[in-house]
Amino acid sequence: MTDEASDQSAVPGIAGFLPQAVEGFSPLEADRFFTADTLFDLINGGAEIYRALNVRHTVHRRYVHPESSDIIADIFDMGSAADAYGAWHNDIREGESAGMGRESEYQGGSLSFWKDRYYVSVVALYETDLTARAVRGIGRAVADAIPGDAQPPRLTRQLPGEGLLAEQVYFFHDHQGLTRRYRLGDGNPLLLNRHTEGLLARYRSAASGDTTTPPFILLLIRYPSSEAADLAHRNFRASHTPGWKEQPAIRTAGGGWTSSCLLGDRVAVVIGAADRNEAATLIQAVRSSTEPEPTR
Amino acid sequence: MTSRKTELTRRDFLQAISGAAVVGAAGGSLLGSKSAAASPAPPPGTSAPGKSSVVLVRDAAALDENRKVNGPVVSRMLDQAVAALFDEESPEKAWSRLFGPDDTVGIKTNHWEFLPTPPALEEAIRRRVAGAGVPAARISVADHGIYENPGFTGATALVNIRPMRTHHWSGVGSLLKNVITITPSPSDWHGDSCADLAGLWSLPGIKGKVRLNILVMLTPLFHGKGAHHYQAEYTWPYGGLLVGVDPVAVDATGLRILEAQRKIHFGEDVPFTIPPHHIRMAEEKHHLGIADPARIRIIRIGTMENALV
Repeated sequence: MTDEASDQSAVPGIAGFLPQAVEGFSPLEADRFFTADTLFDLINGGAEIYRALNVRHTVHRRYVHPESSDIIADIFDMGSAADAYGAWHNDIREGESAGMGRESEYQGGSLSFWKDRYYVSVVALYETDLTARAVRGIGRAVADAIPGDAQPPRLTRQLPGEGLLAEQVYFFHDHQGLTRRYRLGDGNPLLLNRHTEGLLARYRSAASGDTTTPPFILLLIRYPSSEAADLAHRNFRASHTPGWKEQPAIRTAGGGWTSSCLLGDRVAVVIGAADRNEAATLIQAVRSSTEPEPTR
Repeated sequence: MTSRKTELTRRDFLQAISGAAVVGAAGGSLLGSKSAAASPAPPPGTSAPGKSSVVLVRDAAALDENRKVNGPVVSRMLDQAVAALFDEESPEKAWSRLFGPDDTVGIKTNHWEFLPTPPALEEAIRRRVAGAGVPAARISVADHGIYENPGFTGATALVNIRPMRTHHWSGVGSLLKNVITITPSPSDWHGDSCADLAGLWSLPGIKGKVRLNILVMLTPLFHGKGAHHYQAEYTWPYGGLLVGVDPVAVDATGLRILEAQRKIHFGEDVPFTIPPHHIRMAEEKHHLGIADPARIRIIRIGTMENALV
């Protein structure tokens, strides 16, 4: 069986995760299904984000209630837990946890979570006590129906905890995905592509002692091989920090401090730190948290 | 008799949007620039040279406690706005200055399921266009695929209507952006946060045809999050409509309202995730209309409490 055939057989499956009725809400009409190629028909403007994260299928259902505004539920089959993680972390996650899936948030009538390879969104058009109960009920039913519970990307375990703004961790594959969050100059200095996996994490600066100072950035990228990582690291240093010798950090044109290191098949880059020590300390913390990779 | 009436209506229309700065507002070729440049002083309630007029109409009864739209109320608001825009006592006269029996009219709406144009407003426009003498068979309402919709490809006139909201690519979903479905390849216009959306208004299917722009501000979306960029938390019951001939001026006014609401909600000036600079570019680069608030006259109808502009 090909992957494509497997994907097609999975389509009815994701619709089966959705409950038929919750709190008096029931489906308005037949479910709508979308592929990566047709997702533009569902998401006005934002489909590219999910396409870049390898979305495979989406089921879309509108629930109605005779005395309430509607609720819209979507399940995105992202193909992997890493990409489901990435889809959920595409937004700043500062709302309360809804206690379902691997990570979840309920905020202002909207619930979202990710579990295994699925990213789930349940949105009330207008929040009332009734729609809040129903949104959570639909989400709980979906979370219970999804059988797996895969872990977040391994890279997340290498993010040092001190100073980390956990609500602002973004996952990406290619340069365009990175650029959506941070513009790393012209070109593609880290040689990112659809086979790389990266995290962009923001850290509160302890050195500045000022909470109004913009956070600085850690990029942590995993390449298909150590050779690819080495090439990318050398390319980054040559293009982004020319003049770098062996010092622990270097001041770049933007005014902040940059540091980087090669860790086997991974590259870590700190950007915009308040001083040399802050940049070097975070890089050292990443080194310390690096665990041996299992043989692939 | 019929054709004379239509010509007169168009001449009146040219007067209503006169002033070089609004030459592009109704879409270039209708005004052709010669006509507009030579047009006499505009009537009161519309535009003065170098300025654009926008009507803001608000009514607390436009929404019920569940934010369901009250059709008769919003229809009345639309009539009030159009009458005020053209300084007519009756909405019938105002609409008759916009359309005539010889027209084929496309009503470009927006069917985004989280915040669509209320059907009651679509119906109100359809009714008023018909009342101006346009046969029902020559009035079309559509959102997607208008580039291949005969009701639009053969249109002599367009009405452009949509709710305002924040948007993934363009910062805000605006009237300027609403006509993007005139092209089969909308993604061609996504570069630099859709900076050049005003260029759409020079395409043959749009140029010179849009006679009325209506920005629905009943429950605007001032911030976006999630797969669909929608959370009810980021809407509020503003209960208004913004109506004008110049799409840039109407969008610029709507944007000011969104910016003000963001400041109230977040407690500070929080920049849009994606800069909505296509509105400013519409004036500065494309000369389609006026984005500068100092040159936009707001005609106010109804309650102005917390109007934010």
